[in-house]
Amino acid sequence: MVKEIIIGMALVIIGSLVASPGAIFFKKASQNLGKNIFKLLKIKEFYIGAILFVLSTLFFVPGLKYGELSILYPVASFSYIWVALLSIHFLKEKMNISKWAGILLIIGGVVLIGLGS
Amino acid sequence: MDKKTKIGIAIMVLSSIFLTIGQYFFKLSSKTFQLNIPSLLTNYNLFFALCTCGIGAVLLIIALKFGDLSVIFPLVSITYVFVIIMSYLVFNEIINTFKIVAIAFIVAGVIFITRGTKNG
Repeated sequence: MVKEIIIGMALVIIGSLVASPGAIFFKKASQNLGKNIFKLLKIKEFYIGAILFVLSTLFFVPGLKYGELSILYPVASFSYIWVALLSIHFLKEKMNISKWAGILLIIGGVVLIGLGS
Repeated sequence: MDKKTKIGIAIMVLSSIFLTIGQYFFKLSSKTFQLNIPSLLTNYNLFFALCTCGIGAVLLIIALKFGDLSVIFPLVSITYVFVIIMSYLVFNEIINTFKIVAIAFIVAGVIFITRGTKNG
């Protein structure tokens, strides 16, 4: 049982580590996007981001099947933390107490969803 | 909160709606899901799920033009709220106290994050 939870956690952690850079690429893609949405298909960051997100589901979906959503959902929601940290480093964005508090509240909400599932 | 962020939030809400619809189709597709190519190709619910999630992803990218990633991306969690409501309405899944409080937490979190933007 414990072994299963560890496998589930490992898969979900890998999934969130794969998905988070995908968000960075999507932000980069949006910066190169003009008024014509279809030009998105010409932006390589779009494809890299999409591939990363799709890859992440290959870890998330099997991982979440290991049950124990009360643990796995919150672990998955660490993506928000990874994305915030990556944004500071790669996108030169600034974090502040309000934004971190918001992320913690959201993670708290996800913990509750896990407990309620 | 500046106007740009408000537009970003609005687009993200729209994105969340599509991602929620995608979850609906994923749930339907899981009933006939088999890991072989003929089955996957004829799984219409899976196809719709991927299409609606794709639209949701494109809307996410558009939303990112209107705000920082660290502000816009957490708004994806609005999807949790919509999925809870959708699951209750469509699949008759129970909304227990945990989920109600969870929704409150997520909404509070979204408020804090969007209040944390430059012009706060």
